[in-house]
Amino acid sequence: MMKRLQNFVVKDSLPKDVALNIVSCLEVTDVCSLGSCSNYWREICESDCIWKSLCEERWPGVVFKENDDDDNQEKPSTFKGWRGLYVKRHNEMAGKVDNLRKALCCQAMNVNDYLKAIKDLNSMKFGFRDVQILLLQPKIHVLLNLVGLHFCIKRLGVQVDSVNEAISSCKIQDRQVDIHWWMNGGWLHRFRLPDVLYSHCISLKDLTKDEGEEILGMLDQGITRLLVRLQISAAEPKCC
Amino acid sequence: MASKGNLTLKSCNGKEFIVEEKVAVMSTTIKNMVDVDDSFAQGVIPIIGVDGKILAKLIEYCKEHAEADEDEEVKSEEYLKKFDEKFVDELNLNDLYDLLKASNYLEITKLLNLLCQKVASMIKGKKPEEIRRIFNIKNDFTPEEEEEINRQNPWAF
Repeated sequence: MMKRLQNFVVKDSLPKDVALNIVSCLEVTDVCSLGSCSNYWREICESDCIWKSLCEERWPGVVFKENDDDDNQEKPSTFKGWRGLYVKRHNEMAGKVDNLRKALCCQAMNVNDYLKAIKDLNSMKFGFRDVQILLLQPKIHVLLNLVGLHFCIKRLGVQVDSVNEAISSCKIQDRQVDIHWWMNGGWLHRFRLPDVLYSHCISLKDLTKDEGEEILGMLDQGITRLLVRLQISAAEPKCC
Repeated sequence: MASKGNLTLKSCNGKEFIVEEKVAVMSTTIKNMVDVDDSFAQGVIPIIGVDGKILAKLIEYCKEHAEADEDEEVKSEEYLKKFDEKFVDELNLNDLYDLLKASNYLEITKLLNLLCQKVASMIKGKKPEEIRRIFNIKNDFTPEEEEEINRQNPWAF
């Protein structure tokens, strides 16, 4: 025991296991930022154990094949090991989000396209972390923020409080969307009455509250016999 | 093993602290020493590489937590949480580094994790230049390495 004490040398840099402990408390973007600071931190932040736990945290239950890279000789991965697996899977998902973005690059969308986007996320097996990292971001269009939010609450069953926390932490909670819907006007003496237009402007934050539950429920149902058309658009800044 | 007595801890600059055994054994390293060898329990335990200022801080932390472990009524979980927050908030960067190393060496796991969390919270959301500035990290990359990193990272941001 004494020998161990005497062998202890005070070094200027942190012991490696302490540095790893710190990095293991970080989220992926922070790991990349810290790894860009110096050679010491680069080596720590590239450690396989860090990326293994980042993979497991983001995609629990997913079995990664270590030799995935070998299957694809044409495009050798820039990164090795678990980091390579993480970046590969992340980029695949980001590519899918990019396709969605291209498909809905307009200011307004119909409810059918909207629900198709949500269905796509489902078939791509997006988890809450994936949606947080790829869709609930300020650089992403508000309609895709909404798709992500809707998917988390209605499909993944994420608690609204957690969703609220996620949109607050990336400062998109005050973004607003306009929702217009047309109710069937019905018939009167064999004359078709004009459909009645309703509209509502709501922030992402309010969509996680009671008021939003009804709206999300309506969006989730889509077109019905009574609801003949439903359109979602990014709110004009001066709206409300 | 001396039963429930006091232990004397001596810092690398010769300061001695008399602490209750239950406080000292919050450190797994000290606990192992005392368990293995009775003579430590009676004599002075040298804490090599840790100065008096840092040792006093460690003892302050261990005292609160040892007392809380013993009696949850007096020191509730909430009280401890507040204590922990205040404890890490008052540290300057040098003390933070020294405490990290000391708590690692003395294996005070709870404190080590608390300090790592603190450092992580200081890094969160910052750009590399800001992190370097906060922690006085010297950028020792060659221009080629720098370029390689800039090429590698865009996926994450």
